[in-house]
Amino acid sequence: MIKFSNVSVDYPYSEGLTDVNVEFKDKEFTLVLGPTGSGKSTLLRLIYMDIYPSSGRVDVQKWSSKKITARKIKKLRRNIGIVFQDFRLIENLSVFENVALPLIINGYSRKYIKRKVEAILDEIGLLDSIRQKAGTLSKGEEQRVAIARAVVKNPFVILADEPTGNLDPDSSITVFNLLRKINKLGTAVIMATHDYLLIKDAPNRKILMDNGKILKKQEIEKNA
Amino acid sequence: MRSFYILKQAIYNIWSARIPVIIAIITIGISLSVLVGISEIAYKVYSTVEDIRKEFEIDIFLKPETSSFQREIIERKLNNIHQIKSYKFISKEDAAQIFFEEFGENIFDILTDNPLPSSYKIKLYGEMTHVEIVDNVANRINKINGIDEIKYHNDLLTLMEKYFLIIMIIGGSIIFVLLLAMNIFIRNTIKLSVYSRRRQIFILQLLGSGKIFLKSPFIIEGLFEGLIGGLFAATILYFLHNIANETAIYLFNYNLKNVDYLWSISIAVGGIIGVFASSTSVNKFIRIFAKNDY
Ligand SMILES: Nc1ncnc2c1ncn2[C@@H]1O[C@H](COP(=O)(O)OP(=O)(O)OP(=O)(O)O)[C@@H](O)[C@H]1O
Ligand SMILES: [Mg+2]
Repeated sequence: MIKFSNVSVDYPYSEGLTDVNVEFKDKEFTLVLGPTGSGKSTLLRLIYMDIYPSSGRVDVQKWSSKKITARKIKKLRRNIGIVFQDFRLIENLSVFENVALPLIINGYSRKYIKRKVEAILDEIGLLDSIRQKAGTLSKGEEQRVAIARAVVKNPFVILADEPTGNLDPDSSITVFNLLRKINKLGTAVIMATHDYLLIKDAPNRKILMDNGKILKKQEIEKNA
Repeated sequence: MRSFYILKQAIYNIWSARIPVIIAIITIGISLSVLVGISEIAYKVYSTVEDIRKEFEIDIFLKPETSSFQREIIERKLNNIHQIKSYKFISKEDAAQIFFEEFGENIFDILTDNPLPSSYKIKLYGEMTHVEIVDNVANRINKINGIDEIKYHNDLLTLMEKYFLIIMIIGGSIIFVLLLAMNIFIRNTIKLSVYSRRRQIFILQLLGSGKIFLKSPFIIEGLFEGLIGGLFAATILYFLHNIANETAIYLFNYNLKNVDYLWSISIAVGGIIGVFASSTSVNKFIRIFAKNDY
């Protein structure tokens, strides 16, 4: 469970978020919508504690932005999968190593890592590319590898910031469906996007942001 | 798997920055050989000085008519001078014997009477062997009745005290500057490595990587540079020492002592500097470079 209580974020020249209150339940799939600069990335960065609220608090499972330490951020991030628009794979490492990284960091055995990574790559249809360098993949493939890296550690939530932003429509659909499939297996997903076409018929919970605020339900319907 | 990955990253780092790494190793090698060489010389000077101090003696010669009762008084007075560590009585007969051993000639063959006076050989405590203290002690001894003459070689002590400090200060400064230089060169390669890996470090942080995991490859890189630099320094020293030894044999027919321990000293010092320089700088470089702005 993730809970924002009266959260504001001040950036040097602008306001990132203004007095946001919102909850994300376990196993829930939430789409965060809104135009450029509306605060979607800011919302997600608060969850993996890349930034802190200027006022208010963010609670993520047992961790609170009020009393988090570097050591605890490390623990928190081991329980969160993060997917970015620009994939953030390490290009000179193989697909296997990229997906294995979270498990290597956590100190799992080679045997466990091999089994787990192969199973996930099989699941996303990239087992054949396991030895390839990540930099040689297509964009759609890179994003699937990034998602594999996010789920490999069995996180309770996956944060996806515009995961389809750099992808063609076909790959976008594949990636979106992959995230929904992962969600069906019990992992919460919070996905920020302004790809309205992609999600327009999705039955998932939608949150609309504008100018650093979350719009009320009625406003969403009015806008839709 | 963790250690395997860390090692792999370290090797990768070293290989990608091989030119600066080689430059650093050469710099470390040369600096370390000078450093260890100077330390070696400084140590030799120091131990020579200590030896001289340890062997420093004051000879006091007694007047010929000194009785054993007077000697007892003299000894009691010597006991009261607390700078004195020990003294040894040398009778006229002992003196003749020493003379015989040194010159191979028996004075009784030449003279009927033994002309050598009886004397005391006095040793001071090592830390008391300084020009002023020695003079002071000698003055006190001189006041004792029955003493004919005092002899000691203060000139060597004076010389030593004049130059010892200067030698140590110069040596120490050179060593300090060299340590600083090695530190800077190692830090520089670590800086380059962290900079070129900044994106990767940032990603690892997002994945929940701990400090040790992030830092280890760079510390291994520093250790590697230090150890190989140390090996290089040891090789330089080995050749220098051979040359010095041959010169010494040629000029003075004197064989310098074995210096195998210089190998382990160079490598150990190199390794320590490598780990020190990298581990104290890597945090800072990670903080500076691994940000969300690539
Ligand atoms: N690091 C930063 N420094 C200063 N201002 C920032 C920073 N990051 C974001 N902002 C500002 O905060 C506001 C919200 O930005 P945010 O990136 O959260 O929006 P977004 O909804 O993710 O936009 P996009 O769709 O373009 O990704 C914007 O006005 C932006 O200019
Ligand atoms: Mg954004």
